[in-house]
Amino acid sequence: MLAIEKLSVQFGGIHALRDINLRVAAGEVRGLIGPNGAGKTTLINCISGAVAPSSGAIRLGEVAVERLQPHVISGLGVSRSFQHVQLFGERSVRDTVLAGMHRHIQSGLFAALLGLPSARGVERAARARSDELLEIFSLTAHADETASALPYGLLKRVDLARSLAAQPKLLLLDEPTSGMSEDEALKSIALVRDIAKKNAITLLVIEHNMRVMMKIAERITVLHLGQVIAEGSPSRVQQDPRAIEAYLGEEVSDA
Amino acid sequence: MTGSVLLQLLISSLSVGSIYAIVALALVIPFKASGILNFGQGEIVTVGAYTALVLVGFGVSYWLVLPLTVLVGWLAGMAIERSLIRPIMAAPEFTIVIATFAIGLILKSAIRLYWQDNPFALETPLNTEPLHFAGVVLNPLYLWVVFCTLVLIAFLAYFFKHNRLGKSMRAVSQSHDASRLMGIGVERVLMISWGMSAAIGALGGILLAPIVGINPEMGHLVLKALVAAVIGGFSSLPGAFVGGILLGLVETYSGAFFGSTLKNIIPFVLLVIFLLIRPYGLFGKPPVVRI
Amino acid sequence: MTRSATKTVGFLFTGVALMVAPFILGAYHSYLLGLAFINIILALGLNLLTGNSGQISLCHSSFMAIGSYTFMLLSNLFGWPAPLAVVAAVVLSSLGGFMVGYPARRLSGIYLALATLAFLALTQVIIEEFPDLTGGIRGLKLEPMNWMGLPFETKYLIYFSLLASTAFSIYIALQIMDNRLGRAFDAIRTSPQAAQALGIPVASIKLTAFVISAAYAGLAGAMLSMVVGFIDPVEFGVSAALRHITFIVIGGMGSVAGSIAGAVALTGLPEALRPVKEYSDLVYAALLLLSLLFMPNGLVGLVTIFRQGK
Repeated sequence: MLAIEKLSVQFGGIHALRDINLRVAAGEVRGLIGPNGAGKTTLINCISGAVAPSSGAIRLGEVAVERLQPHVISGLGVSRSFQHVQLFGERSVRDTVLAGMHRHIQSGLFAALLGLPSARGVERAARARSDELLEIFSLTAHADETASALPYGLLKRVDLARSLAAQPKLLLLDEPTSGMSEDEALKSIALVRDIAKKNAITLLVIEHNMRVMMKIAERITVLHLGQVIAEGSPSRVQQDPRAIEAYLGEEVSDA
Repeated sequence: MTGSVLLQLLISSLSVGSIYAIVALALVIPFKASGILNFGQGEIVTVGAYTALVLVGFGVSYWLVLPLTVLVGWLAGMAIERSLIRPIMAAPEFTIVIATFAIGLILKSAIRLYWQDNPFALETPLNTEPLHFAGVVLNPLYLWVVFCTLVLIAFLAYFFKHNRLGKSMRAVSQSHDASRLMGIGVERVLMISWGMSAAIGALGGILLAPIVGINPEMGHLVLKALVAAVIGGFSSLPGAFVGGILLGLVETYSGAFFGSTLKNIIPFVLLVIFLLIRPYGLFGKPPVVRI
Repeated sequence: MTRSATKTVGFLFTGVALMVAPFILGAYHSYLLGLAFINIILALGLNLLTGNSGQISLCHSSFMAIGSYTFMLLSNLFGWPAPLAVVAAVVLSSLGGFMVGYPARRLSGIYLALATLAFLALTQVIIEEFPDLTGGIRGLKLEPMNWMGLPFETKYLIYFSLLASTAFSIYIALQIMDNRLGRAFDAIRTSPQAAQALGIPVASIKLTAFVISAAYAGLAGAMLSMVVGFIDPVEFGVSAALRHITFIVIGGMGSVAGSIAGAVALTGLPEALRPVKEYSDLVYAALLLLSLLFMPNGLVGLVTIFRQGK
């Protein structure tokens, strides 16, 4: 479903990504790990269209997307969460999740402006669906609160709900559980996996929390300094000497 | 159109362009240092003109009034930065843009309160008979404007290249954080940048005054200076100069050939064209965007 | 009484008061009320554009100018019925909004501000350079309008047209805030990256915001011609643009209540300042600056803080 070929990204003199090759099958849950600065977020940014690659190709099914605008790529069924949660001003939690449904709320401009019954009906349906999502992520109690007033962990759940509201075929998650307690993280990620499996959503997840990663990933790709250094099942990757070396280097610097 | 008329147009367009260049420089300097575009710059020019008026009214010689006006501008710029701009530097762009507009409007209406809309003339030693040279009529005022601008450019070129303060200003324009790490007092440099910008604006005012007369709406030319800065590129000082001269040339010649309506419209048409096609101007560079 | 019951009673009372106002108020106060309505319409449009979709625009008053002149010229020169002339004014100013918004949709920040400033300057030049059409700096006077033979006094026709227009404008603004368009506006203001990633077409939403705000301005402009009976081009200059921005900054950016609060609060000001008219610009600019410095969320923000403090 997702095919990346010889993808390279250069910022000034820095190679953020170098000749990346990656294939993700439809419905797969793929993990993306690597030390800080490995290029994981840059890769997600390329797929979602936020960053234009210097060279290489990205294909979504049959469609080449590497030069498309982000909202067009989103229209093809790609949705993402953000490492640093991006909120929408003083909007409520419900409105924030609803914003993810923008593409799906189809009503004529004038009908919407005038508040005609047809537009209202579409809006009501959207609200019902977003309330369902809020329920799934245990956010119903906060639905009417201002999103920016919530603690970080809850915001991550709002972000997750929002990215799912867009009914994607490919969901890119950038550290979806950072800021959450261990308990919350495992529960949230299990929820996401269940929803993904139920709706045949392909997942590409960046995570630093290994326990979370091991819980859901079917295959893992390891990035280091902009290149793929290992790929395979979780247990195999855990034992890969190159992956261990990359992380050992990081552990020392983390100390 | 005879050769001498074309030459005359050249002189006047160079002098108009010089004024635009001066005000454009005054806009670009604080923009480079603090990222803020001072929409009230036109009113600083007006303040310069009225300061000169007041000093001349006290009988001070023009040759003394000139540096004094620049000094007043300098002090005013530093005061404005310290008291009004510093507190809002972290605010969203909209707030800062509108705030600079508001400051300008406050200055203009304060001036209008005292002097009303009465136009004033500025007596200078250069308000003399035009010179005749090789069949061309030269207005000494225009020549003086061009001369002062060239001196200013030379001074700025030297200042930013060789003077320690000038070099610190360049460092601050590149990166506040890096400059701080190098031990540069960024806040102090910012204040001085605004002071310098206002000083240059005030110079523009006193140079402009004898040519167009003194009135509260003088600052309207900031719009044209903005066009010049866009043409040259906001991150470039030489660009501001070139943009100003270019605009002066285009405006004057199109006015001579196609009439005043086009002359008034052309700067804004140019502005829109550049914003759409080359928003960073002839010499500017787009800011580095980090996602 | 419960809070929502209080609100309903409040609205009903206001509604009734506004319906009977023209019969009770003297000419001067009716005029002030009319200006307040016009400013509300203006503020609503500008707030949607700047407060919600985050686009700095200094040419809102230019769209108002298009509306004003269109209405007056169609009415004076061609005898168009007033309601039709109003519709035409809105359509033409929307077109103006499209003309500016289309190239501007890729611009932001000061570059956008500059582009709109250029348009403002351009419209001023056009107004002054074609005095045969626009009356130049001397302005234009409204001839008696064509009300299609409706058997009411002109002043009541004007008032109720204005009241209806204002109510309609508020209604539409509320709809926008509650549907995907309003959410999209807020999204692209605070986080255009995230908005794109969610499938919101940022450029075309920005354009939509421009067109809608221009429509509002055009309506306000047409109404202004009606109410004042005279166009003075100084109403469409930079000082005016700043005054309009003051409405939303002081009222509260990004909310319908803010637009209404700011417009109403500041309509009284120039009239109160009439004895000292020379101070009007100064007072406005100072208020604007102080509000930006100390009251970033406007009057509406103050009320929220007050309510939370309770």
